[in-house]
Amino acid sequence: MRDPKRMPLDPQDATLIGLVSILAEAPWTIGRADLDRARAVGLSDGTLAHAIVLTSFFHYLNRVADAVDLDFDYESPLERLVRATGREPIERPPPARWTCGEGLPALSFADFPRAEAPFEAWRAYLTERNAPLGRRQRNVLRRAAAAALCDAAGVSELADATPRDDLERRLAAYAHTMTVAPWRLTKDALDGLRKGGLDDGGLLDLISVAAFQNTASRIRLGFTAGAR
Amino acid sequence: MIGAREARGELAETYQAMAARSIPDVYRPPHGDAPGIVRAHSLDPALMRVTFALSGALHDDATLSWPRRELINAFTSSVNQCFY
Repeated sequence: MRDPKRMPLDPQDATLIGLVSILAEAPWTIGRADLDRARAVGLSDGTLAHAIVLTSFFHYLNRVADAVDLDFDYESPLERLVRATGREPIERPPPARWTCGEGLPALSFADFPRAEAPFEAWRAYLTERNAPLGRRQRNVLRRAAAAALCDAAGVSELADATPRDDLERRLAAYAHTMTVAPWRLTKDALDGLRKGGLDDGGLLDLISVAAFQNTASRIRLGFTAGAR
Repeated sequence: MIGAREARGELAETYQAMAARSIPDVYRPPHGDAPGIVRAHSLDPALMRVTFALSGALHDDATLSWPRRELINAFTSSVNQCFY
């Protein structure tokens, strides 16, 4: 999979990979035309909703793996990935050009119902607790990640969660880097937050909350694509 | 990170429940412990449970076949420049 975009794929797989690519790199651009193309090659709304939730959840796993500097579990005949750490993320448009996807969403968890309750349990656990991180710190992390994904509705929900002090600014900066360029996450950033008073449990909390928002915003943007 | 062999109490029970899940053998690492991405959540067993409950719900062949799920996951990792 050295260059996945050159893999020979059937039309449905190629279309799915196109959607996955948009959701990964520029999820704020996904729109009705993308879903129409997918439906035109025979992909059902259930398949599309499943694919959106699946790839969005993998963004969480990737970011956790990067943040904790995970070791390899498996032997592989493939060459080790060499990261282009200098790779720049795609430039974000200004907030005035973000769209909320107003109107009825094109897709919802009703199209892939088996994931709805587990997603809700996961969301509630990561967003509604008061420890190790406080609710406000969670919201600061989530707002920074939502803003980095141009998720207008997500930012609007967390409008008062702009950073107010040095620790909150560092939390927001970490969530921003994790979101736009996870390949640049370093242990130094976590060490700095540890010096700011977070223990290992707090660091896992911050990593998982910021990574969660990478999933939640992508699901929202994917599901509301039909309104853009 | 605390592996399954060193785990006690709630964490040990969580690992046991996860190990009992029906998953393809290729997802079981040769080192015999839980996969690293699972162990990364070991400081918070409740987080481990809710996270991998969602992961399990995504293994649904009715709407996406296993090869197609793997394609999506591998491509996502590729764009993120993540080996996982």
